[in-house]
Amino acid sequence: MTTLVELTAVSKSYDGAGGRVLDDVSLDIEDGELTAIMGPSGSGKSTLLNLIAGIDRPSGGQVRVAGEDLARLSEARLARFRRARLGFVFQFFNLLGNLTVLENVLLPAQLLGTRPTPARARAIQLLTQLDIAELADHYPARLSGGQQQRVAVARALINQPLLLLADEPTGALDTHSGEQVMELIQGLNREGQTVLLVTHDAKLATRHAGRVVTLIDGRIHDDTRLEGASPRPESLVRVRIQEDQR
Amino acid sequence: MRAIFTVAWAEVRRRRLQSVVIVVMVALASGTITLGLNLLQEARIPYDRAFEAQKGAHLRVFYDARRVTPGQLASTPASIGASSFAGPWPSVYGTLLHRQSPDGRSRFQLDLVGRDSPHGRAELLHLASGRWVQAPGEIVVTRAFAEANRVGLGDQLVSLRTADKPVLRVVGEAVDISQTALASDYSSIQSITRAQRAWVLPEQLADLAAGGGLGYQMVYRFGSLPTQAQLRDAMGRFQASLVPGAISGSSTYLTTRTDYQADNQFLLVLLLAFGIFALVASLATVINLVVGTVLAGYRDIGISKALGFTPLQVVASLVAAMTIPALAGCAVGIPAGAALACPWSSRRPSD
Repeated sequence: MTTLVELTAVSKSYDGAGGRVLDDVSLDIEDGELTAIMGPSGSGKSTLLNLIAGIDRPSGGQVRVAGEDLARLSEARLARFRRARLGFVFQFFNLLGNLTVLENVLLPAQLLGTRPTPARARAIQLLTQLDIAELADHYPARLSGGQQQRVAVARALINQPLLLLADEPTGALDTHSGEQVMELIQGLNREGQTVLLVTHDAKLATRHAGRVVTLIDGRIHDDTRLEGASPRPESLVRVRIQEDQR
Repeated sequence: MRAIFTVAWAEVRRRRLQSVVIVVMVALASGTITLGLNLLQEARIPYDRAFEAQKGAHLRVFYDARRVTPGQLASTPASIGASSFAGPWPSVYGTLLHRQSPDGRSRFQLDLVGRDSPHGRAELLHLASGRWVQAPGEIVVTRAFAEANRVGLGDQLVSLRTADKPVLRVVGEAVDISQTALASDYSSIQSITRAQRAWVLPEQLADLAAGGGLGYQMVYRFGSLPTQAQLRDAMGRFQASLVPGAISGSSTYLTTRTDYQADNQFLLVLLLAFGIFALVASLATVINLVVGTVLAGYRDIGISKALGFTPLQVVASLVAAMTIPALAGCAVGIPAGAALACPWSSRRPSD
């Protein structure tokens, strides 16, 4: 296995905000892993995700993704890096409301310069795989939350990214839809897709992830690899977090 | 590029009302400014164009028939290096005429010129309606005079200059490039340079001038447009070569052109000012909409960046979303402005 993400003594603080959001975080993520970053609100999970995505820059330390030191890249090169290497799934789907489902999915491929015919074929294939092909010409506002998140997943996968970043992908979904989306993500991981999942839901993390990294107050408190992504008793995880918070 | 266009076009579709506002504003602004600029341009060009087409006179000199003969005048073109000339035409200045019509009597003052043809090497006359004079008792007036005084073909004008009061029937209306409509405003003023001209057969001029006032007109053209100084120099040469008092007056193309431009200047300035105002107003509207779009689309901008749009591409997509309706507005406004300018540009200067 090769290391896809390397964080070395990364810290992040914002102007005017008291204290560090992230403090001396070092973390490696291997190719093919489904890693869950877990922790309570304000623990620095989303900040960590933004640093790995190059949306934000660290105050200290180094972030390397797919061998690239993100601090060395300009904004434009970071944008090109994101469109080629990363796929995003957000909590509130973040589809562009004035584009149809198919147009939303095709947009990253257009940015990458993929030819229209193969891009369209891939988009249709993904929509079919995600069981929403019949919604291709619909606008996002007409879809349910679960359907919108599937579209977001298809959009994230259109350029066959090295790393899929999912920020609370089930946060805005009901239990059933959330479970479906997580099974979908887990399925992608089984096919070799590296996934970094941010969630505050311990049950979700332990049920689907192969590795759970717990962040509290900007520091890594726990980093556990779960054998074969086998489910762990929810009660154990809850106890563990409570202990950490103490 | 495709991604930018996709996002921009989707933005245009979503914000239909704003897009329509931009189209209308830019169409109005570009249309008005095109109209204004066209008219400003045409105000200068068509006069020169028509002047050349009709071989307009650069210099017109009025001679006193009591002091010079047509034979003496024959040598004047060479003395000033004129490239062509016409005349001498017998003329009577400030002839008082009246018209008997059902709605009352009208009086006019005209400079009558004896001329047997509207053609020649200089100062061609364009017949706008009717025909040229063929017999004594017929008269051709300018279209500007006819319109200003509601004189039509077939109307009879009575000369009050002589006791026998000869009747002249209007048989034609001519466009004279050397006179503007402005001159008709001065028709009541006794002036050999400002009263409108009218034409009769040369042989009738002697009868109409009975009692004095007969003169000659000659028109001169130069190889290139002469300056005021060159024209003044030409007049100096005439005065030096002829007996004192032989020249009773003169006029130049510069005066006529200035009159023509002054005639149109107010309208043009007004249109141009309105065009600039409309452009500024539409620019303000577009800026307002851009700011509104940026604020409203803040979330979309963040998503676009996460998907891999570079900062430049984000700006480009926003600008394109505004440019598409703006271009549509220009596509409507500019041809419309040009089309509106056509009636003015096709108008003859003396019409």
